Amino acid sequence: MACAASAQQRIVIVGGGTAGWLTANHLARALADKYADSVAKPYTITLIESANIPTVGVGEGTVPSIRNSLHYFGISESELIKRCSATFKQSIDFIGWQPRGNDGSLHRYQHIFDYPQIGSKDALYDWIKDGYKTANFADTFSVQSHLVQAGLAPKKFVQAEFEGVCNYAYHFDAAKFSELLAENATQKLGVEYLQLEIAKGVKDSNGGIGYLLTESGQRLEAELFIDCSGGRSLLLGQCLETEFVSKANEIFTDTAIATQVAHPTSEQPIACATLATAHRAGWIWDIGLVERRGVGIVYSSQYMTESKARQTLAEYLGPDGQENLLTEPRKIPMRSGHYAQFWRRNCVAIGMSQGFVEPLEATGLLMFDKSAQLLAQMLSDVGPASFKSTLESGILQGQFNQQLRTVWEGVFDFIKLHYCLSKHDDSEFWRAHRDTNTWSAQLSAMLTNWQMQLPTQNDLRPGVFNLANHLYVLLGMDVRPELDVIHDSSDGDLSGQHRNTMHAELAHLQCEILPHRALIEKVRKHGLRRI
Amino acid sequence: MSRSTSSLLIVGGGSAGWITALYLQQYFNKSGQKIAISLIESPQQGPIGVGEATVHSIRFLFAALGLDERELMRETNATLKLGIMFNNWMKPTAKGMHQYFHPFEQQQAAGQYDIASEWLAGQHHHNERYDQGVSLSALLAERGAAAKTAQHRDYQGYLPYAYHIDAVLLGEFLKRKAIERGVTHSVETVQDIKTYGEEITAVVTDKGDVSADFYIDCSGFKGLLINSLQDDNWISFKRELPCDRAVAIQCDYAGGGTPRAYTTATALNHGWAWQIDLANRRGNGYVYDSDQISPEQAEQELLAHLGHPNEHKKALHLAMRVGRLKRSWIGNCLAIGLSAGFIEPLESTGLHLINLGARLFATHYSGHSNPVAMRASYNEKMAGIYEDLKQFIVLHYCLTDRDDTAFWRAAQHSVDAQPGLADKLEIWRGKICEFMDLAGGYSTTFTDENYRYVLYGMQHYPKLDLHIDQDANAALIQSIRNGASNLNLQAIRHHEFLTQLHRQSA
Repeated sequence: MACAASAQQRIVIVGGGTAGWLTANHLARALADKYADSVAKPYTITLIESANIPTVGVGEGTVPSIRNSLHYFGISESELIKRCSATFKQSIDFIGWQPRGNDGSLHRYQHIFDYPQIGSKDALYDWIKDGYKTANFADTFSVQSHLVQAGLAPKKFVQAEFEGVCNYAYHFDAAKFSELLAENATQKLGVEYLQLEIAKGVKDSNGGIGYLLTESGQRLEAELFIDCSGGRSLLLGQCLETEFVSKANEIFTDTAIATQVAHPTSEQPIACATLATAHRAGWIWDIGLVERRGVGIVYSSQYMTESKARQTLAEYLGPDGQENLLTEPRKIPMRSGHYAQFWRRNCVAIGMSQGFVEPLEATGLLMFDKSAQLLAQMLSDVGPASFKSTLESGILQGQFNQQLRTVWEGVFDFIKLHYCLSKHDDSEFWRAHRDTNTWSAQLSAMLTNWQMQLPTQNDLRPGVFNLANHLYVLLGMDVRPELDVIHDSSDGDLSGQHRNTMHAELAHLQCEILPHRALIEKVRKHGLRRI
Repeated sequence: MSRSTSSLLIVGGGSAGWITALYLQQYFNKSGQKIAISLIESPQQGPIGVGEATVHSIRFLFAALGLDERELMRETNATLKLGIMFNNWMKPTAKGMHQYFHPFEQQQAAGQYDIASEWLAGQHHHNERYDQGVSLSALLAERGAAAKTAQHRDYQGYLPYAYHIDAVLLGEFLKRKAIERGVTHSVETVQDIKTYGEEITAVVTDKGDVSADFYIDCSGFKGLLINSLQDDNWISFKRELPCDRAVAIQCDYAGGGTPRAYTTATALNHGWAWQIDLANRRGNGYVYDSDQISPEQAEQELLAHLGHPNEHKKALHLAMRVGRLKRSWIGNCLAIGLSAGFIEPLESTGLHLINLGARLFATHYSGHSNPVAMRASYNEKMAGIYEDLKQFIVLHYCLTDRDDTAFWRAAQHSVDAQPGLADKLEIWRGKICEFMDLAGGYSTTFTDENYRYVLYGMQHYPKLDLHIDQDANAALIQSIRNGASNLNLQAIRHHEFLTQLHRQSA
């Protein structure tokens, strides 16, 4: 006669920033679903956080997939907006990424979250045939860029949580967001939380993590260690000495200086896009939260001194911004690249411990979320009895590493794309980006291809940035493929029709959608309808 | 057998006989022989050997026996035990099966009040079980954590712990140790006892007469020696504790399971089922009231409970004589083990009662004072110990709200058969159970802490009118949870501890 029942598996997350808490929520939720009927759960998830190490707490921009995760975790959007100073984000507004026009006009394009509404390809060809002159790509094929420019929100107040007229994400206070995630994980999803100072990880004889050693000499064991320790990569990097694949030769920006600026009045309109303004050796982010803005300069220390960067930031803020500074501008070193493996033996890294690229496309939280989701899916397929043998077999590790490696390569190419298409010629920084030796082989091939034809999804690696994202940046940066065949459309001015449709749609929406700040304030007061 | 100036004969070679032999050998003869100790056992009488659960103080006995803990555990297929999980002792609720855990440990918390008062006043019973709120063991047991690591010294761990042990193997292991250390052993069949008044003069066996200055009866339920000295020496507990038979079935871990670090006691229709996990197999059994069902029905119910109805498994059926001797020391004869008394193993007290009997005898036999007074003292203490244990076991039954069978309806009234308990229960509605409530008894085994686990596990909460600082209270209870989370990461998994332990022997 045989009997079943196995001991619990311990999953330990080291580090309590947004990466750690996103991971905790994803795992707890996925495993809770799987073991909903079990009396005793076959695992525990414990998050260990240092009381002394501050989180970076800068990542304030997100992409729309965060909405799915929040809804999945059971976090209310109204709560998010009330508690995290959150605002809506519909776009990244790229300012000055090409030189000024002959008429002195500032170059500007939007990378919006809605897919372009191209309909038949004829409309796109028509827009191209038109010499790209009538209006920019995003304005022609989406109403969203019009909403952004009109200062309107992406959703109506009557729409339920996470629903919108257009696709959207958030800007928020990362520290408060972390707290909200922590509360959800510990109070609703059964994640355990410990404040302990971890001195280091200690290897076992199999090349995995044997145990964690605390400052007070305790040994902590687990069946799976998740390294969310941030840039120091305590376990994957320091303990397991995993090779780091530097991307410094592709992405030159290596330093940020971040600050916070109070809104001059409480009625100050809030931008519904991240403003990304190019400068001589990088760019400046500007993110509007409810009470303040988060502003920071990203630059390459190779091409700009710190004092020049601080001066550039100060000039951007202007005298008004300078007066309203809430925090001293803080310097943050950045290291572009990723580890050669992200999951080795019983150690998975998620967050900056896994890899990092400068924040141009808000890839920070995006990669945390993506990696955590992937891990949760994989782990929830493994039963507790075969947990250990599955980890030892290395099957999961191989899949995880392969998938994420591809995603990371796509991310680096996509960031590089923003720089290498620029014709700025007034600084060495921008010229260096055009040096094809600093391009990846895949990027070179794609760009050669795209001189002759429009990109297709097939050109791209599976990853987090798809065809629409590439179209917004390519066409926004005035890449103009010399198409062999321009279809003659018999339907007349299709792109003009599109433009007119967008204008009509905007006129209609303007009656129904509140200005961004007005909607945020209404949500903070009344909350949104729950799904 | 030649008669030495001081000699002691133990009759019976189960765990009672060999624990007593080894303990007394260590106690009296470790630094030179004072008493010649012999043990005779019969060839046919195999000891009653089901997987035996223990209480945490058994560690102090094993230490006193001078045993190497790792050797002991390997030789007896032992596992570590953090407490007992009680299932279905009340009706299920909306949240599911009724459940509580009785650990060996209680945290001393630095709150305004003691931890039990803090937990009760903080209204935590809405969210969690009492044992989960005030102990680490409950949380660790469910997580499969071991109470100790290979680095801990013998008989020490993070938390108080006991063992699940193969009683037959334990007997054989102790026998080897006892013989190595000078206990004389022979296999003889007892045929008669020669007595003179309240004294035994000789034990007649198939090999002749055996005489000694003192005799210890470890012959089990038969009580071969002690019952030859006095009639009407038995007090039955059948009225308070009606379970008087058991059926035991073993299973293996072929299904992929691993040994649990706790005993399970699941209430069934006419009694309760144990689950005791040894390193190599899982022991199951059903303790039931034979007035309610037949052995065949009990076996069927146990098989159904185990999820294997209609399977034919080798089942061991046992009859149990529930009660105690009025006097377990008469003249030059002492009864230890089943011959002295038996209380159903709900709180795993079988070996513990042997431990107490042997220890108390050693101290009472160590001097030259009045033997009459010593006997009276010993008998009073052992009677008290059995009575107190009976009260504690009754407590498990009488608080039930189950009314699905005649057995459980009667269990609700079992308190009436236990004098004084009803009054205490009334008092415990108005205040927490505290040490002094049990003063005057012999509750050395189970004190206020143990009573609270059962009382509050069975939802017999007092209504306290205490003003507490809610934040400090929440932090205090959370600190216990954090302690458990932390310890869960420090502790090795129970099955891995066992694997390591057995690998060392290979």
